[in-house]
Amino acid sequence: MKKFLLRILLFAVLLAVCCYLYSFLGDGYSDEYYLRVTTPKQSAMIIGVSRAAQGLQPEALNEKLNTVYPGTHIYNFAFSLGLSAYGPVYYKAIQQKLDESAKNSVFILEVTPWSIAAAPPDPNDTSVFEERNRALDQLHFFNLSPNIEYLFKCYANPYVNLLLNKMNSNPFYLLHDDGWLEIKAPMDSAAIKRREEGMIFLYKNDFYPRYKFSSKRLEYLEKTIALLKKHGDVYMVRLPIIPEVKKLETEIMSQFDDTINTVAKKYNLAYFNFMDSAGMFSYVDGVHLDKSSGKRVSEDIEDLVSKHKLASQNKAQ
Amino acid sequence: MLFNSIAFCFFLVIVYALYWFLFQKNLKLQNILLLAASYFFYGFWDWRFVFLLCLSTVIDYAFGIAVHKTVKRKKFYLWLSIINNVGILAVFKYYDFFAESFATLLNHSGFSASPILLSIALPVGISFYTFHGMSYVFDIYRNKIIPTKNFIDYAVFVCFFPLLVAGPIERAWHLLPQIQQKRKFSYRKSVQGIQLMLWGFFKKIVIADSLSPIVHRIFKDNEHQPVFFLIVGVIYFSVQIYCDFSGYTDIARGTAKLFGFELLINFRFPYFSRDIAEFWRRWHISLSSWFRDYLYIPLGGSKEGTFKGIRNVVIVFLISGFWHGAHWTFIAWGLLHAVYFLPLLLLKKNREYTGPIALNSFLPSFLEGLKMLVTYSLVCFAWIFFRADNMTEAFSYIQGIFTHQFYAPQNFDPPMYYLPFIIILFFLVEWLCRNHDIEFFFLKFKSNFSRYAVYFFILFMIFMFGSFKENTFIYFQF
Repeated sequence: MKKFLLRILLFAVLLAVCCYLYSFLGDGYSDEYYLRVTTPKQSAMIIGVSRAAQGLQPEALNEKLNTVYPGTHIYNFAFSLGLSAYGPVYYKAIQQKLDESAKNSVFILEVTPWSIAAAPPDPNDTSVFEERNRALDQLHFFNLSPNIEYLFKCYANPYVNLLLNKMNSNPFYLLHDDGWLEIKAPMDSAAIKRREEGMIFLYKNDFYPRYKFSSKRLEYLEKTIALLKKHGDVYMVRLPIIPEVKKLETEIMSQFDDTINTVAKKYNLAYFNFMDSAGMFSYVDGVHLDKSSGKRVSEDIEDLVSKHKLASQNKAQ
Repeated sequence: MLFNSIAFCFFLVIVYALYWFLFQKNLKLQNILLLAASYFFYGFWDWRFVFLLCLSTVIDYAFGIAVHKTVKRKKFYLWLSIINNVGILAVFKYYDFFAESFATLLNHSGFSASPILLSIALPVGISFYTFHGMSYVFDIYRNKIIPTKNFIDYAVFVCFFPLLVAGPIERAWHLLPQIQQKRKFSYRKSVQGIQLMLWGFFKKIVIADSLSPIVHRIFKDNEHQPVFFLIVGVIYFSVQIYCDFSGYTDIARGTAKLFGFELLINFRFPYFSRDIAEFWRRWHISLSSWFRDYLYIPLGGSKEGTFKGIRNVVIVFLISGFWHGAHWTFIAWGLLHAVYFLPLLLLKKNREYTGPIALNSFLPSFLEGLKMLVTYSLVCFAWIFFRADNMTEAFSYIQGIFTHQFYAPQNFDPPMYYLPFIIILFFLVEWLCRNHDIEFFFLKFKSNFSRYAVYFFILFMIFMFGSFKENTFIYFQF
């Protein structure tokens, strides 16, 4: 029996070592989230759902932000609506990712009606929120490289994809080291139109009928603000989208901007709403900014933040 | 608890260690451990149904003794046992189906009726352990076995954890003596057990679970799929269900071997069958032989005239379909197989292929190959009913095969394209073993180095191409 057990054990150890070595292949091509849970704790972050994950580019933001927030390297820690709407799960993930020693830093919180809404049975029952039992809820380690826990529990594809995606000469996405998710979809007008139609269909037939305002999520948005304010300045941003989806958002939460303005007032922070200038930007699918528009919006936010910071500094003096 | 879960890994290691290290010298304690482990294994899914399992076990044990002790009322107790087991199935598995069907019938007849449904979750493995119990009492009735005096031994026979939820459906004459006999650790048997488990996991995790989302998508979206993908969908499902179920059986048999038990073989490479009768001698053998021994033969088999022969075949296939689930699709699937089988019975050709396949050559003869292809196509056609959620979906799928355009490009995930190569490799290995067991494949590698290389290759395939989402086994729902 000893011989049998010894051989099994040896085999298991050898296998474990091989798996561990293989996990080093994980990178920005592995999936849309992996890299974000492999980087160290961050002192400045972009928080939100996929609109922020794809639309806000830390590289474009960092340049000017450094003049008002010296040494800032903002990190995009936004995921997707199914994972990172405001709630206990995302709050825990932010806590884990946040460098507790950070001081005088900057945080950009992207807000949408959907990220403070939830689907029935009870939009205020946090135990049945959509993100429950999904990646961020399952994880205990958010700053581990390679993140074996993520690969083991949350990686949805066969592991051969770690290798195949790396070798793919025409990848659909690339998650950058700074957390920005670059979408490399074809950008001809027919392809954009097709994706837009798909997105409108999704919002109209899936999100719109199901989602209702959640006071619990709003409570967690405020909790997140309170947490981050201890480490620096917090700004809220509403990113632009096409009118068809905006109409649905207005219908589902007509008071959304007022609600956010109230929160902004309560915590004494700025709210930048890009909805009125939505026509000036282009989109991958109607709700996610394309690469160049994302850069422009990021630069605009950078300007607004810098101006706001300077104004408040002057006011203080 | 699922075989393909981390919980099972820990469970197996703990039970194995206690079994061989702590209780090795005491058979009674080993059996008590197996029983406790089996209840834990079952209760891990839903502990409430452990009581049902216990109740069913106690009742069949008592009926076994009653049937043995009495001379005049043997049949009476046998029927009570059958009524008890069928009753459990009727309540937990079939009641809602009958209630709904009856209400639909009434509504169609102009009456207004809304059924009172129980809406109870189907207890996992209910069709398997009730069949264990029934076969035990039946065998006592036929004086094939005498009832065991030890309740623990009987309870282990009914709910031995490797076979508890999806078989193979064991027979008392086969498993009970093994439970009553002292087991000794065997290196060879343990290695065979690990080999079987490895092969089972490969089938389940790499092939069945990777095919599952593709098949699901094609069946759900069948109205928009071209003929090519509809055919791919049904072929993939045939492979999925085979790898899922036979993979489960391999893991079950392998696990049992680790504890010193031999379970019945459930599959003998069914897709190499040359006619439907042979297919049923190779597919889910423990169930088809159960129906043969406890239903077909008691009904008179084929020896009481043509009409009764036809009637008995139809009954067996109908009940076999219904055994899988309370849906019209399963009934249609069973009836279709009866239709396939009857011509062979009437022409007395149902036992034509009982021997090996392509015995002295690597490839089958042209005729043999053609018969395999025809049999496989018939089986695949029937699988459409088995897989479809309802009859409308099944007919829409079949209609699509004959009316849609042949090909239109579709956007599938990568497994759609690399899986054919893995499936070909898999069937190549199966073909090599066609007249043996899968252990034969590992025996081909004589040196330690080559054998270890094969183990490593299979593990590599599981790791790289496997789906680790702890997907449940298809046969759990039956």
